[in-house]
Amino acid sequence: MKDEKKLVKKARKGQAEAFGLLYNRHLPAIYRFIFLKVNHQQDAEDLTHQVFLQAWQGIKSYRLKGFPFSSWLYRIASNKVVDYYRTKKTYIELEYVSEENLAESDPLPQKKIDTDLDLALIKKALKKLEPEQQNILIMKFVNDLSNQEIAQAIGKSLGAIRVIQHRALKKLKNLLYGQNK
Amino acid sequence: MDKTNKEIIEQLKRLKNIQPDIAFVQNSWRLILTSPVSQPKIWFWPAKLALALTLIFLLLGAVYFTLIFNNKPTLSSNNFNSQFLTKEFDNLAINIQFQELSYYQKINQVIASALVEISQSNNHLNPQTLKNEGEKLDQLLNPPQNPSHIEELLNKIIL
Repeated sequence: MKDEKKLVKKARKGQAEAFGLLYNRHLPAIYRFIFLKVNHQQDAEDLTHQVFLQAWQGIKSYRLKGFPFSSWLYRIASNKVVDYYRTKKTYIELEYVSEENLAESDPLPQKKIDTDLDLALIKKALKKLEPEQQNILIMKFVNDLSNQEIAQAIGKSLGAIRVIQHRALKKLKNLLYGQNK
Repeated sequence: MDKTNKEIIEQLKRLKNIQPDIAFVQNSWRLILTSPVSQPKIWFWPAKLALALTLIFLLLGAVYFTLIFNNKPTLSSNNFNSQFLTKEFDNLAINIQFQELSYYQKINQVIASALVEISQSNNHLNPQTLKNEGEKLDQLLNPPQNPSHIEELLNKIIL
């Protein structure tokens, strides 16, 4: 954390190397977050690029107030995803896409992951959750953020995060296993 | 945590394997490096400060002049006393009625005397009287410009 603060301070002074280290550290998680939200490699790459470009260009406006740098990046990423769905006219709802099409439409790096049918199903089920529920589950269980970090990224209290997380898991369970299990 | 929840979380954790393409990471970083970092607009702060100070001075000036030149009487608690206000209002109405009465009495007298004069005497229509009045009026409107006459008048006033 201290190391990150130093890097942020250096990046704010315009040191590209420092920002490069932050970029390498946070890019995979931000990319995963965006990819699971848009489910399209090219769009996920474009949006991830935009997130880091905006972060670099606006690094001087970022204030160190106890918030981790990742929270700021997630905030930018969430806004980018919202804008993406607002402007995207030819968006195809995932529930109308068959399993075969889902596997075919996925690009190469994700193909390896989707060979497991369970993973494809969980991705599909994840898409059926509320955007906020998706955000919290991805941040918590895919990207290993603490509840505190999620609360700061989403702008909600710790209690609210726990409640949303609980409801999201319950809904996901119903989607995957139905009411029986 | 029950078994199903654990299973779901395990599956979610496996999504960690999603990784960005290396070519994309390198290309994106190259593009970011070539883009300029926006500078905070520090040069704009003095202008904002000057504007704020000007507005504060104008506001203070307005308050000062309002306090100095405002001669409105101060409000006393008596002004809001309902009994006092009712009494004042009643007196005001009576005063107005008295003034109206006095006016009508005077005007009636004037009209009556004028009517009597017109009906009883036609002296005011006498040509000689009208001529005399006309001459007097001419003298008043066009006084003689003779300096000796002025001197005569001045002497009258002085002596």
